[in-house]
Amino acid sequence: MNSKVFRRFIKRKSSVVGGIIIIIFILVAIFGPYLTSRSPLDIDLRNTYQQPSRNNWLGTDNLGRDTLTRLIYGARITLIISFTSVFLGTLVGLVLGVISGYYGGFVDTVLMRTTDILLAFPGLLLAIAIVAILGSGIVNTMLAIAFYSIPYIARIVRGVVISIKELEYIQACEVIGCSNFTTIVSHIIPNSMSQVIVNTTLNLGTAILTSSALSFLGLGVQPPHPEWGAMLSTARDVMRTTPIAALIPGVAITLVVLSFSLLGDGLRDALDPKLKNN
Amino acid sequence: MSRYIIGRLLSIIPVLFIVSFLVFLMLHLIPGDPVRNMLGLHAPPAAVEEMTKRLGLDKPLHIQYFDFLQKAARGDFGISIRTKQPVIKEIRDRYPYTIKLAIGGTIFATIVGVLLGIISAVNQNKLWDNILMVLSLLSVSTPSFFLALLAILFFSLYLGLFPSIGIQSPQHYILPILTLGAQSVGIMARMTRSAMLEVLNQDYIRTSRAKGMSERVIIYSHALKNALIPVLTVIGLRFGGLLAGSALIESVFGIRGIGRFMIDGVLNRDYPVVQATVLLIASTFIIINLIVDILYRVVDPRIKY
Repeated sequence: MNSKVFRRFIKRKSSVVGGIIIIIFILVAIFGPYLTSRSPLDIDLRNTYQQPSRNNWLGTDNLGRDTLTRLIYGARITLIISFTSVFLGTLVGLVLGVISGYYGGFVDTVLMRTTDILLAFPGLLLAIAIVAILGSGIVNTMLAIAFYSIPYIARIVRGVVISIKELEYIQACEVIGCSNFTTIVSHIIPNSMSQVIVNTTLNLGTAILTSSALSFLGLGVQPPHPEWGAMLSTARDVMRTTPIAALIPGVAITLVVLSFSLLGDGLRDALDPKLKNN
Repeated sequence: MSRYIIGRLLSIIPVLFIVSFLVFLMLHLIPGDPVRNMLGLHAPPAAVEEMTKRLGLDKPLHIQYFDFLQKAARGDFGISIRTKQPVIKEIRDRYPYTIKLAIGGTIFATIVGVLLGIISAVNQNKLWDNILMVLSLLSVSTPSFFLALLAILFFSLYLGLFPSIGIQSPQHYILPILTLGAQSVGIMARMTRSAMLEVLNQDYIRTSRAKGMSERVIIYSHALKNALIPVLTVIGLRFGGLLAGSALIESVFGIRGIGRFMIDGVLNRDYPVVQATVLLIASTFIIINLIVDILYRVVDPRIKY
């Protein structure tokens, strides 16, 4: 990030706050085990659904497990699922989008018609259908989310590639004898990066929403893993007596997703001021 | 115009074919034997054979697809493995609930979202704009199932204003519709705001202002009409999102809708149910988008395809 972009970014306070929350989230996810000496799977049936206390800062769940510990370990699962799936989806989408936009013609038509078909399924429906085929679990949740984000990324990248491939510096490169591969890797991809970064950031939020929704429905991460959506699903039976058990994971999901949105908005304004307000 | 509509109607036929083919393929993409998956690993061989025959899995693939298509066109999606009832019967009972929720959610999101978007655009970069944009981002970031639980907690359990479970009366629809549509309110508000800002910078708006026209007429009569065109596309897309997202809301509020039916189908490996519900939701989404596309053309005669 060059200094001009950085200056534009830090001007927007809300995005800076979002960025700080994301950094904390990532640190908690990585160093979680050092923050608590307990295990997220330790069951204590004498202490189920406890209110927050000195022993259990955020109370306990239906099996007496410490909610704070589960929340910390849940950050790790959320981080792994969202980053892996978005990285996979972005990588495949980027390659397809570049090929489609750069080569055009028949390849473009086939790829774009395919994305049209995939976009005919609402995102969550596609994810549910993929889980129906592959089965539930962490890896399959990641694959489902990665797969459904491919057409979106491919379309965005294709648009960017088409808009820059006719520019003079790309043509100059072709004239001096750059191979297609060199043109794509050294010029086309670096110049579509700002759009890809912005969309990847925003997609991370969407990925977290989708993975927690799948787990909430019982289709994603399975118990006893402390996934936030699954924690919320367990806690809904005791909404009346122990609302905090549902509030904690719900607020965590919302806060992290909101921060990714704020960060993505800030990055968009900073990287491409022309796009402001769109 | 009628030529355009007929062309557009014809254009969804291949899409529906491919979508139906993908849904048909689902059963074959599942790792392992689908019949064993459904009946369990220790099912007696006779039962496995009977089910294989009943699902037509012993026939060549293209014949299976042709059968599937023929039956689907007649509304025959087979028998649910769990309830032993025809899938279409359950769908007929459940579909109206989901459609009502999705339509209700879309209307709520459109009215509130557009209104907030206008307020935001008119007060660009002022306090209200900032507050509304943060709120809209918050609404987009809050999982609908969490919002639904919060709504039950406050409006049903604490205040006792609305029923929390089931869908027996019109009152039962209020919380599910509001929580289902809430996420889209933020999306609509942001979309309307940016569309309005773009329109408000156009020459004809400046001309209207120069003529001394009142700000109210300019905003509601000139700007809004043009700003609503991009918003219309979002309405179509959101409707699809709400149809699929309805599964979450139905699950929280205990509504016997088609989304809940689909999730139960996935959880019970009841594949006829999964195929029927996925196909139905995707087809509804395609048709709604077709209608929006046609409306788009009616609203904005400048658009040429």
